[in-house]
Amino acid sequence: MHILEVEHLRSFFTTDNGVVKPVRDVSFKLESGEILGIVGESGSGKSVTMFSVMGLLAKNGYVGQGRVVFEGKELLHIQPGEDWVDLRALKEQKEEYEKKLEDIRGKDIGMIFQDPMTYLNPILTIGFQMSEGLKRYFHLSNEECRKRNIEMLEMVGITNAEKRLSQYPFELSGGMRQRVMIAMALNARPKLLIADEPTTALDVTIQAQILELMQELKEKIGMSIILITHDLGVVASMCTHVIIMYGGQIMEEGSDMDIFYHSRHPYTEGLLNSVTTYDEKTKAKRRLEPIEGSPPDLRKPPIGCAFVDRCKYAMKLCKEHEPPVMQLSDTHSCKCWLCNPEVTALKEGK
Amino acid sequence: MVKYVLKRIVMGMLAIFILASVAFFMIHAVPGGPFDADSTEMSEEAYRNLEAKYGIDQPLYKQYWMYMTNLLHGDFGESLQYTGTSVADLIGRGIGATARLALCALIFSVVVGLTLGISASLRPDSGLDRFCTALSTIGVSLPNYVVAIILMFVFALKLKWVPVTGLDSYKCYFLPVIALSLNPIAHLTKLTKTSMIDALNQDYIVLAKAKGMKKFRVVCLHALKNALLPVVTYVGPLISSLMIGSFVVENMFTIPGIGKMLATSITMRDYTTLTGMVIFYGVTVIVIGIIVDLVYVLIDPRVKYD
Repeated sequence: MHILEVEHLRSFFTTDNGVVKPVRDVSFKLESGEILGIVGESGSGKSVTMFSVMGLLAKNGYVGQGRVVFEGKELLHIQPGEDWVDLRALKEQKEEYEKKLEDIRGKDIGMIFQDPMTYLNPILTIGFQMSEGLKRYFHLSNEECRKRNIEMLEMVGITNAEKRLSQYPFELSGGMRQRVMIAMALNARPKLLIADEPTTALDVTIQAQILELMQELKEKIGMSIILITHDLGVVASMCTHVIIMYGGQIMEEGSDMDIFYHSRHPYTEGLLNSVTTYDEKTKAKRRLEPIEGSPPDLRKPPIGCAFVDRCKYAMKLCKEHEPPVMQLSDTHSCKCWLCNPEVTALKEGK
Repeated sequence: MVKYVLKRIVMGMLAIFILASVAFFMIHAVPGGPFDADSTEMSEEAYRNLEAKYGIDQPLYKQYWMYMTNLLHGDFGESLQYTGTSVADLIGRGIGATARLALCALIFSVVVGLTLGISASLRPDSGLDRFCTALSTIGVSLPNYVVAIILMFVFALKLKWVPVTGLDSYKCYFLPVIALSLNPIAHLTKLTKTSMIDALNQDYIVLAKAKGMKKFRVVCLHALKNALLPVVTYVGPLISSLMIGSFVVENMFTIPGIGKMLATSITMRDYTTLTGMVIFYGVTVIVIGIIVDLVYVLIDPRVKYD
C-alpha cells in the first residue's frame, strides 16, 4: 500500500526579484515501510518539495498545482491554473490545507529538521516541548508525559533523561539536540517520518549513530521514512528507494540497485563521480570529478532539460525540448533524452 | 541570583545618595527662596524668623548635613509650602491618584499595544497593518498635551460624554488615561510587531507547526514568549515614567497627583518637597529596574546574572 502519493506538485515563491519555482512537476509514491532517499545538491528543490507536502512553506510560498494523498485520503488537490495565477485563491487553499494538516502533522507524520541549533524553541524546556504533542493528541497527564518522554529520550540514547527534561536547548550539545528533535518527532509514533538532512549539521561519529538509531527505530515502530540528503553515502547505507532531484525536477528514480549500479542519468553519474571511493584492487586514489557549473536560476528555468548547461552529453535537442520521463523498468525511470531509444538509434546511426 | 539582587540594592542606595545630594544642591543653586512670594507682605524680622525656623539661614553645608542625617532616619522633612505637613504625607496624598491613573494607562497601553502589534505581524500589508503604522507615527509625534486638549475639546466640551477635569468618578479616567497611553501604545505596537515578525520567521516556529500545534498556540506561546523580551525592556521604564506621573496631563485635568505636586514644588522653591520627590522617583526607577531584570530571567532562561 502507498502511504504517501504526490502527483504533479509545483510550488513557487513570490519574491522581490520575481517568482522562483523550486518545485516543478514532482510526482512520487512512497510504499509503506520503505526508506526513500531524496538526493540533490543545495537548491535542487528537495526540501521545498517536502515542506510543500507538509504545508510548512514560508509566507511567500505557495503550491500552485498538485495532489497529495496520505493513507488513501486526498489532502490537497490543486488543478493546473491558467497562464496567470490567482494568488488570493491559492492563499485560501494554502490556509485550508494547513488547517487540514494540523491534525496530521506531529501525529501521523513526524518531521526532523536540518539544524538542531535553531529548530528547538530556545526558551522552553525540553520536557515542555516534548510533551506538547502528547498532550494535544493523546491527552496524557503531566506524569504520563514525563514517563513517556524519559522512555523516548533513553531510546534515542540520551543519558540522564530525567534531568534533561527540565533543561533548555542551550544547555545541550548539538548531537543531543538532534536526538531530542528525533525523540520529539517519534514521540507520537508517526507512520511517516520526514527527515530533512538530519545529519548534515553533525560530525561523522554522531551522524553514524543517528542514522543507526533511525533505522533501529524504524524496525521498532514500523514507520516509513523519507530521508532528504545530499550525502550519497548515507543513501547507500539506508535507502531502498532513491529519487535524484535537480532544478526542481526528478531526474532519476529507482531502487538503490538501479541508482548505484545502473544509473542512466548524466547528473546521477556526476553525483556518483564526485563521491570519494576506494578501489580495492588497484589501491589507487581516484581524483574527484566535480560537476562543472552551478544549478539553474529557478526564476527562469531552462526550456529544455534543467541540467543541459552542465551536461557533458548535451545535444541541441536537450536545449530545446524538455525530456520526457522514460520508464526503464518497474522501479527505474529517468528523465533524459539519452534514455529514449529513438534518440540513441539516431545518435548511433550518425 | 540573591547575590546579584543584593548587589543591585546596594548600588541603588548609592545612586539614591548621589541623586539626593545633586538634587539638594541644584535646587539651592536656583535664585530665590521658598518664602520670597510672601516677603512683600512680611516684615524683615518675620522673614528672618521664618528662615531660622526651617534652618534656611544656616550655611549650605550645615543644611546639607542636617538634611542627610534626617534622611538616614527616614525623615524627608516638612514641606516649606504647606507648612505643618511632612513631605512623606504629601507624597502619600498624591500617590493614590497618580498610581490609579498609571495602572489604568499601563494596562490599557499594554493590552492595546500587544493586540495591535500581534495582529499586524500576522497580516503584513493588510489594512490593519497600515492602520497600526499610521497610529504609531501619530502616537509618537503628538505630544500628550496636544492629545489632552483635543480629547478635552471633543469628548468633554463638545460631546459632553465625560467631565472635563477632576478624578471623582470612573468617567473621569477615560481622557487622562488615553492621553497618557497614546504614546506608549504607539511604541508598543511597533515594538511588538517587529519582534513578532522576527520570531514568526524563526525555525522553531516551523517545528512547532510540524509538531501539529494549532496556529493560536504557535503565535501566542512559541512566538510571543520569544518576542516579549524587547517589549519588557520598554515596559519597565514605562511603568516608572507613569508612576512618576505626567505633570502635563495631571495639570491639564487638574488631577491631584504627584506629577502636579512636583511642578509646583519647583516654582515655589519648596526645597524639602522637591528633594523628597526626587528621591521617591529615584527609588521607583531603581526598584522597577531590578524587577524588570528579574522578569528577564523568568522569560528567557539564557539570561544569567552572576
